[in-house]
Amino acid sequence: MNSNFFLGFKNYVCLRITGKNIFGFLKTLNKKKINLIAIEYPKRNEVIIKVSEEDYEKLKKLKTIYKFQEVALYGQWQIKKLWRVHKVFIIMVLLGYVILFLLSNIIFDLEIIHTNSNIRNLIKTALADEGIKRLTVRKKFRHLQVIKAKILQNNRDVIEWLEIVPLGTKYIIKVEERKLNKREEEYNYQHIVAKKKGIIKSIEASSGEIVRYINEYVAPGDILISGSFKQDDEVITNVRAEGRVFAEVWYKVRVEYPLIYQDKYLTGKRKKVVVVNFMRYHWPFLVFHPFTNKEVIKKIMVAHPFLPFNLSYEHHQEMIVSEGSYSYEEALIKATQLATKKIEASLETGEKIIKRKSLKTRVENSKIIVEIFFSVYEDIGISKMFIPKEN
Amino acid sequence: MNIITRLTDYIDDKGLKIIIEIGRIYICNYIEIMRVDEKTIKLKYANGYININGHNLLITKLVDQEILITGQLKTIEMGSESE
Repeated sequence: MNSNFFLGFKNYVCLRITGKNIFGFLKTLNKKKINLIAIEYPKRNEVIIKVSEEDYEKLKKLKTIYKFQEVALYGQWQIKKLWRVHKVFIIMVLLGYVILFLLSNIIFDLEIIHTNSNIRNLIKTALADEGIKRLTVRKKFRHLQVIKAKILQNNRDVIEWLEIVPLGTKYIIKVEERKLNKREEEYNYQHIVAKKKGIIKSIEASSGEIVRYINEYVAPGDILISGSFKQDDEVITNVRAEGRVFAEVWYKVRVEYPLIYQDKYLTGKRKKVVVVNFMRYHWPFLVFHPFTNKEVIKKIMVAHPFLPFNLSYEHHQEMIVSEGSYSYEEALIKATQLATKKIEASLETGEKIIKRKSLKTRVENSKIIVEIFFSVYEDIGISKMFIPKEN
Repeated sequence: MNIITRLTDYIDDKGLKIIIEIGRIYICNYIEIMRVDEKTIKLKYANGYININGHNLLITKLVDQEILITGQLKTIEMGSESE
């Protein structure tokens, strides 16, 4: 018996045969050992038969008055016919795909976002050294991360933060310059002035003249420790004022905290899975009881830009996710703690929070929104250079 | 019947087989078609002949010693060569 499995690989042809005694012709074909895989009878004196390549050759050699005409081709013949008929279309589609692929993977522009031209040039040169420049092939995400880390490492005195964002056919490079703390800059002649408004709580001056007093309100720019010693409104001598001025300053912080939280923990159960990924679909091999929630560590095994799918090897770890909700009071405490952490993160040695108070609290979209007032004991002194007047 | 003969028969069964379904009949290991028309199809096999009678009988598949006939089947007659 014939196996249908191999039929797809062989060449077949469908023939329309017209004549007076169709049954007689079929009988003749049977005698000639010509296999008819399918037979249809569209009209009384017409039959459509499907025969293999070898049988078609036998049929062509047959001397008969019956007319036959090719209706359809199968197997390689079908592919060859498709190619013959749609050759131009197929070539154009493939060419279009290749051009599209090339165009979408070539970087046409680099946009470095920074106001300082020196920084822009520095970044441009560093990127060019790493192979990121105009009209080059787009780099993979992992490669970009490595380049970013390398540039940051090499220029750590100049660059604070760097991000390379691929957007279409261009890279947008966001960069943040590292700024030195101005407080540390020292001049020959300097005053210590207030950098923000507040009420002075303590003044320690190692040089210079204290011109403001405890519990006095000061505005930004007010001289706190003067570098000019005066007597009867006349400057006797000029020095470099040094010291620390602590004042009570005020902040208003707005914090949002979710009332619903998710707890995630790993159970320790693991699975190693081979997965076929096609667009957003994933088909794991031989996974009979997949984890409902899991943490996945993925390693790409087989991938190519020309292939629409890839093969990955994944480590799955079962994860249990539980949801809970905070009461109003709990959420308020959490929000206050968060706001306190934010303030504390900006404080330096000797600085502290004096008091705090919730001003407004409301619940909106499953979140608690709190406005908290902070009173902070903070160093408000900053150096300001001055040029002494010559007598 | 020894085991080799039984195995050979199992793999390469040369006996006549007829499978009848609603509206079609499948015959395997016949020798040749003796007569074909819309009402009768007569086939020759090793020990005689098979006569299939019905209406609108059509051969829909015809490969090596296999034939599939569709249509309204009425009777199937089997006769030996001597008849």
